[in-house]
Amino acid sequence: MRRILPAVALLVVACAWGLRDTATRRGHPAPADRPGYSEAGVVSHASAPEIAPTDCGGRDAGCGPADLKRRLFEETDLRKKWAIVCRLATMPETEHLFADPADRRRLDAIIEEVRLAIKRGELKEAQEEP
Amino acid sequence: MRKVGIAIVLVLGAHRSSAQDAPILFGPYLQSVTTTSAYVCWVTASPSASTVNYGLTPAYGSTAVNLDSKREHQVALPGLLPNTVYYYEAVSPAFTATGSFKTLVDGTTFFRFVHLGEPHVEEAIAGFAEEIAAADPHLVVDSSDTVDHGLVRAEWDTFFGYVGSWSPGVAYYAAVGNHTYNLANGWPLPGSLGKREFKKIMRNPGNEEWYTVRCGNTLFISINSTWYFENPFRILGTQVDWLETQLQLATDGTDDPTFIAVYMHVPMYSSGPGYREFLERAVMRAFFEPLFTEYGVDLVLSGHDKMNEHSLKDGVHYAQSACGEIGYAFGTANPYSLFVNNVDRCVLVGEVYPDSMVCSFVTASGSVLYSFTVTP
Repeated sequence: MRRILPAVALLVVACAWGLRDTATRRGHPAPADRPGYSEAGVVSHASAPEIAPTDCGGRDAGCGPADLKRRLFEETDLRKKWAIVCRLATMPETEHLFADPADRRRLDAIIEEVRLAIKRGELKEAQEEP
Repeated sequence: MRKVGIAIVLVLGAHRSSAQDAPILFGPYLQSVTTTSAYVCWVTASPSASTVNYGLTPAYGSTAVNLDSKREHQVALPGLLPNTVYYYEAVSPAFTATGSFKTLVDGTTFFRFVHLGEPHVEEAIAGFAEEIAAADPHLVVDSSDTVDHGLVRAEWDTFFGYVGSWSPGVAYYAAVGNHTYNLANGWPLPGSLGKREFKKIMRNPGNEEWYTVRCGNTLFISINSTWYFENPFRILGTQVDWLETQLQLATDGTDDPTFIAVYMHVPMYSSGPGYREFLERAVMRAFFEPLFTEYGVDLVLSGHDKMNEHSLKDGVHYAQSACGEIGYAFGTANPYSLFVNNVDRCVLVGEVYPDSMVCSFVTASGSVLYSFTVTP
């Protein structure tokens, strides 16, 4: 019985999830479905930056890629900007959001700001902050 | 979330059960080979201590023992000579195998390396046996994805079966890829959970995830590019700091290598469908590329996009190869591309001379599709 139960559990889990992640098996994960990300889509690794669902109006309202892009450009808090970048990175095919060269430059500037802040130790894991 | 957590535990339980029951037995393969040391590794179904008899002739003469009772057998051979052939016999209760290998070269001695991209535990990778034997490389570097589901040990068994013609005799260094983290159903587990099997089976230097290998006049650097499965501060903070330190050391005027070659999984520049992972790659380029450019990295090797490509940007050569899975459609415009092929499975063979490195995309039938030369 002890040998059968795990196999049954695996079968159930595989049936539930097996087909929803075909892209992952081919090398390109379907990012919105990745584990490691909470239902609100925010990186849920214990040490990763987070944004509250209310920050973008809840899970279903105002949390789409276009909303997040808008919030990314409106946000002033670098930690929240970084959380939004991480959130957008979990979404498939976001390139078109930044097709406008001006938007792309703003995005690149934000990523560079994050890079420098991490390098200088100004942006680091939440639990390490005083 | 609770349901997901329970399901993950159940999957892990099921996996553990299958790993214990399956007749897993693979190796020997060679890890962390340097100019003066090496690890002989193999995996068995039951744990035990491990012994390796080794020496300069098939009569051996020296013995190394690892008393840890494990299924993943890893025996260190210290005190070796550079660029020298050693014979060995790996022994554990359920396993005996013999082989021979060369230690890495020092100085500016000529050597070859082979780069694997996208093996994906495809049977086709077995077809490169003759080409790899003909190359007679001192090391094989693998940008991954080595297997489809990194947490399924049986796939590693299959992989080492496919490369069994050369893996007992050539230093093998693998990087972490996104499939390293995958459960049997294709779901990845983030962080250290996802790298559990990789770290058990591999015996890479350092933290086994980002590390350096010096062979002759070339410094190889393996980095983990899958920041999106990890704590991003660890990959983009700790790892990037480490990378900069290694690059500083490699350019400080003391025993500097002529060439610096980085191997990682996700390509920085590619004609593949990178638009699917637009932000992942934008972030990766922002963090890594300034270091590659500033410290004069010569070559960046990768896989992931299932094609063979050579790009050149700001003096840095970017190459991806695909020996297993191949055939993603072109997607993203890559203005730096000089050659691209998404039809023919290839390995990349590097010939490293004192003042140049010739890299060739070689098919399983031995045809050279394209070559480029890297100069310092």
